[in-house]
Amino acid sequence: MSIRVDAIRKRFGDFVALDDIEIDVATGQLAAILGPSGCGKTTLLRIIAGLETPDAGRVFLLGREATELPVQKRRVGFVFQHYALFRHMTVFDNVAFGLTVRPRRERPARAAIRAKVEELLGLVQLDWAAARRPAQLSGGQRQRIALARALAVEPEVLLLDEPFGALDTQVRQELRRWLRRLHDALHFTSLFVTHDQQEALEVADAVIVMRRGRIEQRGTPAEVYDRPATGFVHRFVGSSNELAAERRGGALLVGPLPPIASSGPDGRFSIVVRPQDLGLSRGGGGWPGRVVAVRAIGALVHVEVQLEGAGPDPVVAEFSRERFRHEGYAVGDAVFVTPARFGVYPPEELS
Amino acid sequence: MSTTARSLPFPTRRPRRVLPGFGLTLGYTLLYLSLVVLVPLTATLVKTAELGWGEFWTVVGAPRTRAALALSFSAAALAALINGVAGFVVAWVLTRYEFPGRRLIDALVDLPFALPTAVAGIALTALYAPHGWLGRLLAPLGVTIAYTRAGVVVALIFVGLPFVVRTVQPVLEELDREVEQAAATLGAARARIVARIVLPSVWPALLTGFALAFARGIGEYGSVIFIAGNMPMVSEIAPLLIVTRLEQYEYPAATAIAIVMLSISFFVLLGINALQGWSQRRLGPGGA
Repeated sequence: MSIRVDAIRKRFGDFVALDDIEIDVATGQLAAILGPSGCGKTTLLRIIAGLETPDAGRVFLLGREATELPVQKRRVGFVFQHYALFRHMTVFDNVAFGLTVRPRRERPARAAIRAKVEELLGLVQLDWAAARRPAQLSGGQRQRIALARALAVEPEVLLLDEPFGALDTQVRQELRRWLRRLHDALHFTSLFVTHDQQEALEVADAVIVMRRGRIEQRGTPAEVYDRPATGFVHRFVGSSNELAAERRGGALLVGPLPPIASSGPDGRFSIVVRPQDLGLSRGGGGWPGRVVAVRAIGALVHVEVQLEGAGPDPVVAEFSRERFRHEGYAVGDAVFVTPARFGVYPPEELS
Repeated sequence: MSTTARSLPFPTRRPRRVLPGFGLTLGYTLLYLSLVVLVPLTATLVKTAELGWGEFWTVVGAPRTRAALALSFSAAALAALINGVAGFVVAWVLTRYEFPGRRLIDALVDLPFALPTAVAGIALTALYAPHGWLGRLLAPLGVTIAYTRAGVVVALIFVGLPFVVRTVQPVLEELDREVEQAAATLGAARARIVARIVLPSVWPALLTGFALAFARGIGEYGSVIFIAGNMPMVSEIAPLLIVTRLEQYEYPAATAIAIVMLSISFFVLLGINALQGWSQRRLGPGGA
């Protein structure tokens, strides 16, 4: 195990930031910690890097205990959301920094440093920018420099804190795919923190979902998406519709709508169902409703349906363009809605 | 569309200023500067002109004048240099650590600004005199501060400290801690981070603080004359010499020394300014 965190606890005053956290990231993996802001994900990453001290628990890097090791000795690469470049230095000096601050005995020769920096700048496709200063580069370019700087010291693990959080959508997408390719080419172990589920699902081998200082679920992106362990994960990962319901004697009731069969204890619950799992039909069974909006979003079409007598918000059903053209719903149509796959959770699991 | 656009002359419109009032504020600035700075300086120059070149050089070139000027500038430079180091440390402690009494120390820093300089001078003299609290401790070591050149430097350190602290402190507060953390993850030890990351970032502010403390030191009078002993050729500062000349009704001679002090100060400060501009540019846009 490349990164192992054992029973980590951390509190800031009365606020419990991390409550008994355990994670394992296997060598060569690219793992993502996913969660809303304030869930403790960044604190956890900073504890692994040694930038923060845990109140209890232990950190292992490459199987060796690192809990007491100072930041300088942990050999972790850390990439900050806002780049944290040295703005008074050129791009070249930024990347070379980790090598030039080594004690004289361990410091590579000047020519070796130059070669290493040039290689890294080539790798991040910014060899032309060596003499520039960070302020002269765009956000995406700066983050690539920050990455090259972190890689210069040949870290054993790479930690990235919302690395693409400050960039616009297009650059984010480009950069995260590029990071994935880089990761595959260089075989380091990486752990990155994000609040963007799309980013986590697209890039990571393993996803750890956090909420309020605890881990909700860990697994591959497919597991987390297809088999959410809790209502929170179901709602947070991917988009979803949420309906308040009541279960009585094996029947789920959403307001006055026709009941659907569901086994389990009686009580109040929340139904979470993804837009693509919501079926529409013009006749037959299901919940009756009326189409209130149709929105074409790229290759997909969202049909919003107001269910009769249930909740103020319409539910969203998702179609491919092809299927939508075939079915051809329009605003005002009377339709029936059937949830094909859904989750039933206690309401408090969602908040 | 593009064909018709090509035939049209490129439109030119005088850009409107977003912030109005340039004329008014510039006029006010020039008037104010003239009244407060330029007119008195011109008067000094006119008064000096009552001396011929020959007399001017006799006054300025006199050994006593040269010694006083040398002492004033070297003591001010040395004091500003010491304040540069000490002021940085004080600002560092005040911005980086939480400790009981931090507020109090923060307020104490401003005291030399507020205290009448004569009071400071008398207090320092009492402390460093051979029988004072500190002078008594230093005497066995063969160190005398009061009534020597060292006394001049001590007084100038006292009055100059707040300039450095107050210019460096806000910049240190603004520094992005993540940049230092980034350096730490790259293996840089604390001292190296200060030397290679923190110092270059506060350097322009430190230079400003140095320049202010230096300028203040050159002109300082009240606190120095009590502790210096004012022996001609040894511990007499140039401002005191000017006052002496004034008391002897030798106004042109007094202004002649003043003109020399002004010229030297002007060029030194100009040089520091240039250095500061250069280091500021090195920090890049948005630099501290």
